[in-house]
Amino acid sequence: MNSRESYLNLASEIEMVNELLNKVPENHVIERNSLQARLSNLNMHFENVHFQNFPRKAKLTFRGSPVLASHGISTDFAGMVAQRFTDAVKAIVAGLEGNLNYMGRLPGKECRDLLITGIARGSFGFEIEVSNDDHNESSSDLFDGLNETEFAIDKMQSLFEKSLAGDDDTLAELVDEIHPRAIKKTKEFLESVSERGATCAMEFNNRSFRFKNDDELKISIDRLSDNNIREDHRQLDGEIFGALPKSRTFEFKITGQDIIKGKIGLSIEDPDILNREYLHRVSTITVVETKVGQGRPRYVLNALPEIKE
Amino acid sequence: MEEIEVNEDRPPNDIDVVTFFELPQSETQETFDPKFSRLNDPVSTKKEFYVDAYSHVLGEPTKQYDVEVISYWYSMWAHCRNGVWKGFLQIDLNCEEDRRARKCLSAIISERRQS
Repeated sequence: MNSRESYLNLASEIEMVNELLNKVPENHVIERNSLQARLSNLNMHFENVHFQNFPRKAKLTFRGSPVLASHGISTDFAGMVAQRFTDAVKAIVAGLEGNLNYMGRLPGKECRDLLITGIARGSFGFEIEVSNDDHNESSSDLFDGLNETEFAIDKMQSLFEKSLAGDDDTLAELVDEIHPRAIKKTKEFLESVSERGATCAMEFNNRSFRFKNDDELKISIDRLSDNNIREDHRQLDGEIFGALPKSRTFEFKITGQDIIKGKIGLSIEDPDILNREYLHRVSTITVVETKVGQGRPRYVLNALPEIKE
Repeated sequence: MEEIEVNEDRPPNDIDVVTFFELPQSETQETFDPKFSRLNDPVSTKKEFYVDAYSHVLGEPTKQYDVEVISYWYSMWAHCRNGVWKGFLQIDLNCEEDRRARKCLSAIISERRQS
């Protein structure tokens, strides 16, 4: 048994046979014996299966000009969007791992984390399976039980949703987690869909999302563009008011102004150092300030403060 | 039935058989079962004949659960667990056909032994 669907079908069949046994009269011994034997066989298979080891599948489907109903899809469109989707996922993974630079080759480009394992019908598209090779306990603790690639796909779906319907602050929170280059790669994926007169939909991890038309796609593309998501590096004078190492957040009182809150980037390996060595000491910090639309700015601290005392 | 040799690059492990039959006159399922159980136990039929054997009794008033059970057996071999269609053969219980089949199989076995 090598798929989540097969496992779920097996579980469903076991339930069905149990229901049949509840209905078939006790004196129908021959029929009951057959169903009992079948149930024993199914339970034996079921006991040997570990659900959490099955890779999760994403379904990515398309409608519009390059797609012929549920019959087929233009090969050059399919190839292009598959590549752009993969690039976006890999960029998000790299961003989450702190390995993404603003330019240059995407890290892990040769890594085969995503497989096209089938056709998704309804409209037309792909079933994409996420390799389970890097699913270990530490990564699943960090990413809510998903491995890094699954988490990236989940974030990408959230990005579709929030860029279409979320407010600026909600989108900003998501942008905060994902490297700007990964945002750009996601936008490029959506652009490649829109440019060919198509729309797309995605299902993953029990959630589904669909762009109903090109107008919705363009809204998302616009909200993910450089014009709407602005990132600046700023130097701020003041003092560290505290850091929470587990959640990787900090507070900084700007001289003569309010306290700002922000995230501590992965480049600061030991966030608690801010409490031990920089607390309430006059210093200058360099932060990445991100603003989405008219939303509140968000801050990320990627380097230790410079003491001014 | 499916081309398991093509689909999964392996020979089949067994044949799945559901026998639909009417009880002999004046028998009930309870009285007939001891005489029939050897052919209705897939563990032993698989071991002896490479057949996963199940049964359902016909000729009695049809109840709702009969429809559900028959639908279940149909559904089990209409598709693989991954949703791909496959099919099944309906073969009547017939002693004359059994003799012909046995003769045919004997000829095949004999031919293979010679080659």
